[in-house]
Amino acid sequence: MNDINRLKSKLEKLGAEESGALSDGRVFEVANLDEVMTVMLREIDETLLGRELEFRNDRGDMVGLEVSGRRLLRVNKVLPERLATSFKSLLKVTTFDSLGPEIDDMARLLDAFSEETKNLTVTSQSLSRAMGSSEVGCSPDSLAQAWSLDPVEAIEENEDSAVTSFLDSCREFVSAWIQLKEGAITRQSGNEAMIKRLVSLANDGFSIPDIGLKQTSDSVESKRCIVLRAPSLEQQSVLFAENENRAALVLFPAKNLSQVISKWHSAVA
Amino acid sequence: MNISRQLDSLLQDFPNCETIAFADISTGLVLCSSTRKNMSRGQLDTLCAAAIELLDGKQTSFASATLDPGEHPKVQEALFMEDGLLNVFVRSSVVSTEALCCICVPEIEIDAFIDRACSELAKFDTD
Repeated sequence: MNDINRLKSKLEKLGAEESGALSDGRVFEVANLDEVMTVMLREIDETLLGRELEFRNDRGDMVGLEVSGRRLLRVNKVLPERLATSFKSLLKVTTFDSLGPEIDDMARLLDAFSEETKNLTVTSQSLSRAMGSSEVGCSPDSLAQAWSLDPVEAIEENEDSAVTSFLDSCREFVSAWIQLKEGAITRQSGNEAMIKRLVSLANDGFSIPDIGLKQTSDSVESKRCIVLRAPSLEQQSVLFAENENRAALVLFPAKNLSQVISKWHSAVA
Repeated sequence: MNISRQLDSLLQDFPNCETIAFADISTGLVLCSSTRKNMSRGQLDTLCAAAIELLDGKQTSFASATLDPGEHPKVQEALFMEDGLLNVFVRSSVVSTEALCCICVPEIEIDAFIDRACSELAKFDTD
């Protein structure tokens, strides 16, 4: 915290503090609660100076957070009123504590907030109040741990991969997926029973066989994938994709084959 | 219609398909092919070897068995994508050792193509 305070002080002296709200905000496509939480944690992690972050869903529901020093201080606004009333104890918490009951309450709030949410809009403005020196708040990594999500750093590290782009773009067409880095599972999503089957396949060392059709000479840069369909898989196809040291195993309804292929093609183009 | 003409007809109806080979995957022999580009015998043999690996190979049988431990079914269709090409392998539902091995571009209407490939394969053994 000393480093953060020192850096904040330096930035303030340099006049680097932003003021006013961002005009339109940033829009993130999200498919489920985990993705809403992930966007929120990433925004907290990127916020050094005192800011009020507002997250709005497609219905216009809003969750406002006070954030400083890359830590969540408190939830300061919730809309609509019905949602605010249901979580009024959360709004009374003056400073978040990583061990407090507010972490679970907030997960429940986000669960209600994320229902049927496809787009999440984030706006930011300066904190409208002076911060107390005792306000420490809660780090995004503590929240990630409490909510059983990947640490924020791990999420960011994966962003440039074709495999990650592919998984993020084809969520609506697939039943379950797991993402691997150097053989270790880093992300997963979808039907729990199907995830178990994919994890079992990954743990047993499944890989793309060497079939001699390779066109490029540089195996490190290779982006390739296979899709297999067998009659007993309840109309599901399995896909294994790999690029550099990252890979993905995906189960998807066989009827979505053309969409899934198109998404892979776009991700590697 | 003989098999060669059926392959030509399939190729003509799907401009995004470049090569189709009819193969016996139990022996690794390409029995007949139709293509828009020059394909050597060696290249066709490589395509057939890929079909064997993807439809009957250890990794894919293992995947099929792991995903459905109760059944151990044969893989019916396999696709392999790399470097802007889409290789499609379809096993015959009538004779499980026969397959079509195809080189396409990813823009192909894949559902229609696989449906047609399956029906052509079935015709080979019923005509």
